[in-house]
Amino acid sequence: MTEPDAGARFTEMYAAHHEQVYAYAVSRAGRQLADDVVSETFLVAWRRLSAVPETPLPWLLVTARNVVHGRYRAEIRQASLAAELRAWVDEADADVADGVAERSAVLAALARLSESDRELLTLVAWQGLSNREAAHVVGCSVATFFVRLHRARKRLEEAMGEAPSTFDLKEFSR
Amino acid sequence: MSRHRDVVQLLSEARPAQLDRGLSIDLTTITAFPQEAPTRKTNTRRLVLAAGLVPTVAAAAAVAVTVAQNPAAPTPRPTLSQRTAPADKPATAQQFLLVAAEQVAVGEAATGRYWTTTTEHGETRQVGPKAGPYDIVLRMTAERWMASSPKDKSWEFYQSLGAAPATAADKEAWKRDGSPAQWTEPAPKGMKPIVIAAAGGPRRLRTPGGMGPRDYLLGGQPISPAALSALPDDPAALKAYLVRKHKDTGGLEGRNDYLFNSADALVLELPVTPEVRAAAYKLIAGLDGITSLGTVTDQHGRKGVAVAYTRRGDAGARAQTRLIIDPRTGHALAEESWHLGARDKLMSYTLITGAAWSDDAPPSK
Repeated sequence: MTEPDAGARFTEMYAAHHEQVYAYAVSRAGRQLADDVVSETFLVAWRRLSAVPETPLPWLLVTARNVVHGRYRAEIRQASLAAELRAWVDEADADVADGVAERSAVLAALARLSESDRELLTLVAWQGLSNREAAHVVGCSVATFFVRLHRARKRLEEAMGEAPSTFDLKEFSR
Repeated sequence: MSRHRDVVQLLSEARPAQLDRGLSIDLTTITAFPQEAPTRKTNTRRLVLAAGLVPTVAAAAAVAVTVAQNPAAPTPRPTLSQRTAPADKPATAQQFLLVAAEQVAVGEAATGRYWTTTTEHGETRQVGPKAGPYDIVLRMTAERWMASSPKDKSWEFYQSLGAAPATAADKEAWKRDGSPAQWTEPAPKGMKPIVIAAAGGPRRLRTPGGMGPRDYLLGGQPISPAALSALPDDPAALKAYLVRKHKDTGGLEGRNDYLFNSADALVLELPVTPEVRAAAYKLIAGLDGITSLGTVTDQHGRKGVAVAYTRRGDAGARAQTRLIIDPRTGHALAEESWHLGARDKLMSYTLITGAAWSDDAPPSK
């Protein structure tokens, strides 16, 4: 059942992509749950290795996405993510380097967006996916993806323009 | 347009360092797991399905459940509790919970090498043609052996019990659909659709080689077994503790929701002392939005009193969590999630069919 080179292929795939899968997991579910998501994702990948395409990253992220959605109650995931988003802003605030105010502002704005806007933006900005790959991960057509991304960018801009008064964590889950 | 590009560029530069971190997974714990044969599609699909389902369960994290009911490993029920068995039903949820708290607290504080639980989980999914969709319920069982010592591995077994139409009306719709023995769920573009089989599957070991030390989840945050056992057993102190934890989460979940979910997990799923469980019942009794639904039967036909917590979800929809408690023992039997509407709908459930401390060796398969 196991191909002779399956182990080697799997190990290579893991080495090449686990960091990206981890980053995705953190951005969607927070560090508290990320390890679990990564393990689960690669377990599925191993078991279905023959189904994993030559360019595995989008496939892995789709799987991670399914794991994130299927594995945790929404409240649990959102609580973990809330802690994560807050940590980012706090650390950006604590940083003394140049341009931190803007970094902190953009992260705070990101935290105020809806989950789906946040997903699109981080896939493009942080995962380095092409629009086509990102569309695949979120399960829509490339055309639809462009429209959604455009709107998400706009909302991010708007959120940055808002008075960053208090960082209201209640708002970002929905 | 350029302004748009700028904001994404800015976001890209603000990429948090928290996204990068070396991860140490022992790959042999993954590759020791058998691979699915590419040709045997049903199997592969079932696996994917199982992978999707187990988690919901594991939602409460690595987890365990509390009630002592495992026929295989009987735990003495608190005999004293029989005395207070409320032949006369308490009128309100609050009264009932206080009685339950009194009953559950008399059990002995046991401990052991493993906290073992058996549970059944069900989830409702809508399937069928657009013109005549209907609901099916996917069921599975899980058996967990959660090690007390970090030196021991923890083990989790699960088994799909298959899927079937949810109600008599759904069964009629299923017949009109041609009585399919499997259903296909749309998958993201480029992915194989997931097939849900009506037939169950074999018992499987979830993590090959066992799982290392794992935290439980309380209110969505990891909590170590040691921290769990150190929880205050005074209701006010427990509430104060949870309120502090709630602040740590950033308050995303409403405070009431958080308190209910945490207390619910304590009475239902986590290995805590009877005193802590009693405190959790009292905490729930003090929350707004708690109502009693009187005597109900759980999905296994066991009688219990349902205490309901209702909250408003997205778009004004109402979601209700029902905690079903055995009035004779004060133990939680089950938790059910309902969607309230023109017709109330059971969305998912967890039945506690056994929970006990054990010093035995876990089964090998």
